[in-house]
Amino acid sequence: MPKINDRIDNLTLFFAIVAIIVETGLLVAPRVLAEEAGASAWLSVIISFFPAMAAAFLMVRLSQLFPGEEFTAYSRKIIGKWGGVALSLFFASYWIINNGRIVRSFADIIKTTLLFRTPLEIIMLSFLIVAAYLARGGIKAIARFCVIAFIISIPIGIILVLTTYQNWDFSNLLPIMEKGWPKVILAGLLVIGQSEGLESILFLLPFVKKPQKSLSYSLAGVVFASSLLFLVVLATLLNFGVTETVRLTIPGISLIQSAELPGRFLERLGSLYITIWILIVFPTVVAFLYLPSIVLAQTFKLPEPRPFVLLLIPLVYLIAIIPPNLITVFRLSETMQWINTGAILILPLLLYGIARLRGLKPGGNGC
Amino acid sequence: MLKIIMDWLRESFDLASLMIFITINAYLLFIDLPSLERQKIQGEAKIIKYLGWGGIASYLGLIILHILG
Repeated sequence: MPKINDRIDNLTLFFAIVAIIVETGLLVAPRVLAEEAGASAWLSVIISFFPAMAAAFLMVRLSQLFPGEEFTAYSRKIIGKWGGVALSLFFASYWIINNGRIVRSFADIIKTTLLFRTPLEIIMLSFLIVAAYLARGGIKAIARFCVIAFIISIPIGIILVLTTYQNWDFSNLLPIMEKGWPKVILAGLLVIGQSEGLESILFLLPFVKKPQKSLSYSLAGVVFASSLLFLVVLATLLNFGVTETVRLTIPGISLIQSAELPGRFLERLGSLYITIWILIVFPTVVAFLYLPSIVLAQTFKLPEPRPFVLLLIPLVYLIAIIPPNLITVFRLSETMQWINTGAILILPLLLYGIARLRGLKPGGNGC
Repeated sequence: MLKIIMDWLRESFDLASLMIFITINAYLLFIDLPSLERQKIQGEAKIIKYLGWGGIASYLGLIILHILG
C-alpha cells in the first residue's frame, strides 16, 4: 500500500489522466485515422468514446474491488502468483517500449520544427534525464507537474486549433461513411490504441485519497482527452481534407502552423506552440518512466522504486534510437496500436470478469 | 551472432551517451546506494550494487569496442 504522504486527490487524478493520455499521438492521429476511415475519421473518434469510457469504468471498478491495494498485489489474487507477475512485467515492458517510441517521435518532431542542427541523441537524452529527475520525485511531484502542464498548454492548444476556423471547409467531411461502417469502427479501435496511458488509471488509483469517488473524475479525464483528439482530427480534416491529411507526415503540426490570430499581431504560432507542446509530452514520458519503476519494484518486493527510474533510461534510449527514421517510428506506432488496444480494452475486462467469477466483491477481499 | 549484436550495440550507443550512462550509474552507486544502506534496505541495495557495477562494466566494454573500431 502506498505511503500516506504519497497520495493525490481526485481532481489531480483527472489532470494526470489527461496529461498522460495526450502525447505525440495527438499530432499524428488525424493521418492514421484518415487513412483508415477517410472523411469519417471524426466519427471514429466519437465511436471510440464509448469503449474508452467502458475501459476506464472497468479499471476503476476493478481497482475498487481491492481498495488501497496496488495492481501488482491484486492481479496475483485474481490470476495467481505467476500470472500476476507476468502481467506486471507485460505492463512494465509495454510502457518502456511505448516510452521509447514517444521519446523518438518527440525528438524527431523537435528536430524538424525547432532544433534543426541538434543531434537526435542529445534531444532524447536531455529529455529523458530531466524526465527521470521528475519521476524520482514520486507520484505527488508528477501529479503536480501534470496540473501545471495541463493549465499552461491545453487552453493555448485549443485556442490555436480554433483560430484555424477561417480555413474550415465543411464539404471536406463529405462523403460520410465512404469506406463503410467496418472501417470506421476499426479506426475507432485505433483511436483507443492511440490513447496509451489510459491503463495508468489502474496504477494511479491506489495513490488516490478517496478512491470511492474516482469514477467520475477518471471518466471525465478520458472524455476530455478524447474530446481534444476529436477537436484536432475534426479541425485537420476541415482545414486540409482527407487527401492532403493522408499526405502530411505530422498533420497536427501543419494544422498549428496554419493558425493565425485575428489581426495577425502574432506570427509563427507553430514554433510557439511546439515549445508549449513539450509540456504536454513530458508528463507521459515521466509517467512511463515512473510506472514501470514502481511495477518492477513491487513485483520484486523492493520498497524503493527510485533507483529503477535511472536504470530504465538506457533501455528507453536504446528503443528510441533503433528506428532509422520517422517513417519506421510511425510503423512501430501502428504495430503498437493493436497491443495498446488489447492492454486498454481486453486485459481490464478479463481481469474484472475473472475477479467477479471468483466471487471477489467490492471491499470484501480482506482489505 | 555475438558480433552482430556487439556491432548493433556499438552503433546504437555513441561515446557521449555511454559516458552519460556511466555517470548515471555512478550516481546510483555513490548517491542512491549509501542512502538505501542508511535506510537499512539491504536487499535492494545489493541489487542496485550489482546492476550499477554491471552497467558500468558493460558501458566501459562498449567504449573499448568503440576505441578499437
